[in-house]
Amino acid sequence: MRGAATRGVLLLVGLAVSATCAEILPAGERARLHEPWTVRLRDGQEIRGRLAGASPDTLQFRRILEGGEATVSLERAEIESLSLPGRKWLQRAQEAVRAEDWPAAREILAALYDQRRVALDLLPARQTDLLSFLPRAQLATGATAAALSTAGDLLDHATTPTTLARLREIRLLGHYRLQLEGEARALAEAGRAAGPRYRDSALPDLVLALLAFRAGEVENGLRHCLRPLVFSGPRPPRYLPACYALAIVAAHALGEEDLRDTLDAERRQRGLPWNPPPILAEWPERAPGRGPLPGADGAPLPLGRPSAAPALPYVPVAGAAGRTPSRASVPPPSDSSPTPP
Amino acid sequence: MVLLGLVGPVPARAEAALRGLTLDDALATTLRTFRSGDYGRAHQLFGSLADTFGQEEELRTPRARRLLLPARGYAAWASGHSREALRYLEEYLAAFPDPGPRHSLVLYTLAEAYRGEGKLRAAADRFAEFIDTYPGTREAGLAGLQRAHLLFQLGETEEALAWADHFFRSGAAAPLRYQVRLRALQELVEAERFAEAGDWIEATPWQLDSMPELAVLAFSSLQVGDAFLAEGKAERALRAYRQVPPYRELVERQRHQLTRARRELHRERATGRGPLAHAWATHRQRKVSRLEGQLQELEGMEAYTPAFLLRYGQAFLAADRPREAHLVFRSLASDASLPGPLREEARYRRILALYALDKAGETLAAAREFQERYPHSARTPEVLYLVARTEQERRRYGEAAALFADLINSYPDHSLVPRWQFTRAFNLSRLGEYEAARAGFTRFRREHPDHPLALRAAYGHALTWIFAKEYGKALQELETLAKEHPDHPLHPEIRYRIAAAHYGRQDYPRARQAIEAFLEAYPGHPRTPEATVLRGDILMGEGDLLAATRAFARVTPAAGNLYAYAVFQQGKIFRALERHDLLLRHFSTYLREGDTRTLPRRGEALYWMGWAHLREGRPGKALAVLDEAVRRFGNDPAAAGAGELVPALGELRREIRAETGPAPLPDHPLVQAASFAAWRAAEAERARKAGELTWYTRLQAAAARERQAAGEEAMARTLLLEVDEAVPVEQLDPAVLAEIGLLHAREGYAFAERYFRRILEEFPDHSARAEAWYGLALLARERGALPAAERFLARLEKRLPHHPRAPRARLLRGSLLTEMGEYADAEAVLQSVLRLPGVRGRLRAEALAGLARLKTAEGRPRQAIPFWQRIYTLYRAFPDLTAEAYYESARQFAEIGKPRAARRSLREMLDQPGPLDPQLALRAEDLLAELEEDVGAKEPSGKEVLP
Repeated sequence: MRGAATRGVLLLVGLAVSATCAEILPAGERARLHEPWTVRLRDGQEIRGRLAGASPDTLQFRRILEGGEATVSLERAEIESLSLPGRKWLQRAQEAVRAEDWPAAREILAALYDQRRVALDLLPARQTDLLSFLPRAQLATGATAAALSTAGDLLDHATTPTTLARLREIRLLGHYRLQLEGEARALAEAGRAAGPRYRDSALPDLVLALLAFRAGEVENGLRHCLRPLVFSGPRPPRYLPACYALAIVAAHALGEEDLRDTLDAERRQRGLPWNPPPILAEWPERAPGRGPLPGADGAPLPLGRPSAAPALPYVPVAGAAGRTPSRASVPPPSDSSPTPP
Repeated sequence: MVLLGLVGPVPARAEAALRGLTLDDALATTLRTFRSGDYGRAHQLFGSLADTFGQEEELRTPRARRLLLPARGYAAWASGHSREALRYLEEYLAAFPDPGPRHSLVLYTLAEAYRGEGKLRAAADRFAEFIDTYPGTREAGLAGLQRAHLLFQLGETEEALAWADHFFRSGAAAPLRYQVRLRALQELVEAERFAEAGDWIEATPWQLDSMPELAVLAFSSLQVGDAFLAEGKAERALRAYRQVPPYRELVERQRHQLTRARRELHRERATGRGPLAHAWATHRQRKVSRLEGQLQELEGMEAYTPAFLLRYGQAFLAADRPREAHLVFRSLASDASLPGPLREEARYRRILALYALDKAGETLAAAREFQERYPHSARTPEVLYLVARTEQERRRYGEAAALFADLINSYPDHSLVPRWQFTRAFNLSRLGEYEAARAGFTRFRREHPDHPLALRAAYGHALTWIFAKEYGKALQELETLAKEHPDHPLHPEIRYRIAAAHYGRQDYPRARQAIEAFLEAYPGHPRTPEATVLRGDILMGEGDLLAATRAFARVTPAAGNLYAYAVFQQGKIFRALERHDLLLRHFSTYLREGDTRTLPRRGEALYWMGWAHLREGRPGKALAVLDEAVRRFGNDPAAAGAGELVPALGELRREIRAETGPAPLPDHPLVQAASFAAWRAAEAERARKAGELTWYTRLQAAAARERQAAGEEAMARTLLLEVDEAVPVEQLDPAVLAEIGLLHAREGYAFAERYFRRILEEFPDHSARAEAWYGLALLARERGALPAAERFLARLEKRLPHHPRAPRARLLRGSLLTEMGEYADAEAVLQSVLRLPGVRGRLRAEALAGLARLKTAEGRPRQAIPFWQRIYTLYRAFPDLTAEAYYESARQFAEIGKPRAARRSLREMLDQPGPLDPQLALRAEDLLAELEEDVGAKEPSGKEVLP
């Protein structure tokens, strides 16, 4: 009797869980993603079958033929294009990404990624670009390690500059959030060395600055975050507001009040929001001897509450004059990494 | 009523087209031709129609006129017959003034026709009429754009600018508004109205995605930025420069915008509807043409980015933002793709940025690299001059003088040679090489008698006599200068120095005469406070003590340290005159009016008040003064100098007991106690129980210092740690906070940081900040943050250069700089410790040890050894240092292949009386054993001393 009651409770719990998941991608729809693919070969043939396996050079499909089933192995080089089930979910995924509904985007993109990951090299660039939002969604919903893994996989198949940039940023953010400081530093330095002076993203400089700030090297941190401030023109790069916030606080901590005030005035003149990284909530402990940070109106500039995680902030990407958020931004984290020592 | 225009000769083809047709057919043919867009033919057909059927009643009806006049007018305009067009279109508007689709077409086309006829004002007015008649329409936006162009073409700049500003705030489509904005910006730039152009650039929220003509913004901003930079308005230049994108980005974006504009034109042509579709098509066609032209120009030019970045970096430098400037110049200097001359310029400016950042070591290194790389560059002497100035500012006067000598020898024809000569002599003077300095000044005057610095050279020459205390010679020269240059700006300074020289010779009457003349002639001179104090000293020298006190009384707190000096000189005089009443009043005022938090020498003042009462036979009053002081300040953590009360009480007790002799002692616990230590302990206990915890800490800290002075380090430490446990940090005296913080910091406890932080935050003017910065440096070093540690010490040196902690801070800083590999700076800092007056004993020995370690780190054992030798020769009172010196010199002798000298050092070390550090002794024995395996010939006598 008791065993049956327990099983009943477990069943109810399972149903509740699956009901929650099913709200975005119902089980039935999920199952349909594994229906047969249509494969068009270079010689004009068309083959339809369920994916049965994959190797670096081939894909295997199980076909229903008269009298039974057969498995056919196709060379990847022979394949012209693929049509996979779930087109409407591609659309839904796009909508979720546009709306920055990251839990939904994660759910859908994970299923799509699972469906087609063995054939990434055969997908059109726009699909790979869409899938590159999966690590973004994972990062945004706290699955940092998964984000790193997915980004690593997708990087091998990314072809457009936008996709590559997005995935590299995720890797950098992921390493930083996991407190893998050595790796984060190496990625940031590589990112900085690779690009032109004026870049689309200030994330590498911001990460280097945060690492320096955390080590108490305030002057060093200031130097890092000044770089994107200097090399930014009418189109401010991503993460520039956070760099301004860090630079202003660093100048204040160093007692350089003129520089602090100049940078804050410049930030406002450029129309950039006050967007301090969470680490700055701890700054009085790290920059002794200085009072509150004065704002233009006399009230102190807020530094936020100390966070439980070494997270990076949401930085709406600047359009002209910092008013238009773009899609290439990282939303507020919600991971629960342990408090750094 | 003219229907369709004048009857004139009809072109044969047109006449033929309508020949034999009825009116309806002729009308249909004409309108069909018009609708097909063949406006030239349509224009001819309209003419023919008028000629052939002009008198027909059907064509005179309002209905017909409403149809035909606009069409004929438009056809005339479109085929280049603007004058005719004007007639028909004006006629239509006169006959049919009500707004409507046809009316809008006519009005707009009329404006275009006026423009075609060169009647720009009329055209502009008609466009304005269009906007007023059809506000909020897309076409009104287009009309607004056209009106702006016309006003600028007319040269009505102010009206055009006002219109442009108004139009920008309207609801017209963004691309149109920005196009007008950009046109206006261009006009302002061309008219060199850069301030306004800058205002427009800064105030406009540029929408780069919807603005096609980005190149206009970029180049206008570049010109405006350059103009501001030339005017010295660096921050405004930077704001303008921010609108300049890199060249490649601008080309790409311009290409993208052109593609988009072409697509819009194609779409407009394919789908354009409405009576004014043609206007839009024309507008878009013009846009495409403009963009094509701009792109062609862009693609044909050289990339402007590197040259622009040089100016951008210069703007940062001019705006006193050297960090940013350094980033820009370093980026250019290290870019191998850039041409050599540009990189050279960037390297030079990078040096200027480093100099502005006060990074002496890096400036020197960069300058030397520049000199090596570009020995013949015109910038090289400037760079060397900068280096020389840097050395001078770091008080490395010998190095500075040598560099100036190099400059003079290497570039004898340079225009700055006189200045270099002068500055070299100045540095020699600062170095104490007075004879050489005088030779330099003399040479300068001989070679450049008319140079603006000639008088200063003569003055410098005279000053060397003062520094050498040869006042007679100084006076001879100064008096000659004063006589010969009564109007020179330096004259007051010379007169002040004359007074000081007389005082130096103790010729007080002449000194007083000179200084009083100076004060009368130059009230408000920067030297006035010093001159006032000097007058007081002179009067003291003359024995006119009361007059001296009146002189000192003129010195105000604004004079800084001179004020405290003057106050206590007066105190000294009152004591000498035995005017205890005046002394009491004097110090009461001083204590009452001074700022509690910053008043210097408070305890000393209180002590003298107590002393004065004692001298007046009022021991009770003396005690009362100090009791009152204890009551008012003793328990106030913020009261500066309150810690001095404790030793002052000790002094007073001694005085009272000495003065009282056999008479009964005053009934006061301080005096009645068996000893001062006993009183202090009892008072501490009372204070602790009464919750007067700050006073308690001050008493205990004084006890700890006493134990420390007696060599009882452990007891001193225990007392302080007991205080730390018993008293909340908020109630600790800042000096005690510092002592306890340092105790913890030396043990490596990171929580010590909060003690130092509290001092810096709560007592921003207290001298304990020196300990706070020192302690923070220790902690930063402990966690490996060497640059942060060095910064704390640099701050201490800058803000409190004369603090007793300063020499030790310099030693630590030298050690940190050595660890960081900044050897030149480390050496400068450690050498400066040796030059400090009053630095003796252990501090000097540690400075020598620091220099020895520095040379070792640099890999120069031959230079390290002499330092070690000096330590174990001269500073044997410090066995730990001596032992290290012996060991290190031995190790380094062995390193340079002198084993005998090494063995000798080790034997001397091991033969020293007294205990040796066991670890060091073991290492010395091991090394000796190792070296003794190579026993060679008999050792010569005497130490080996390296040259």
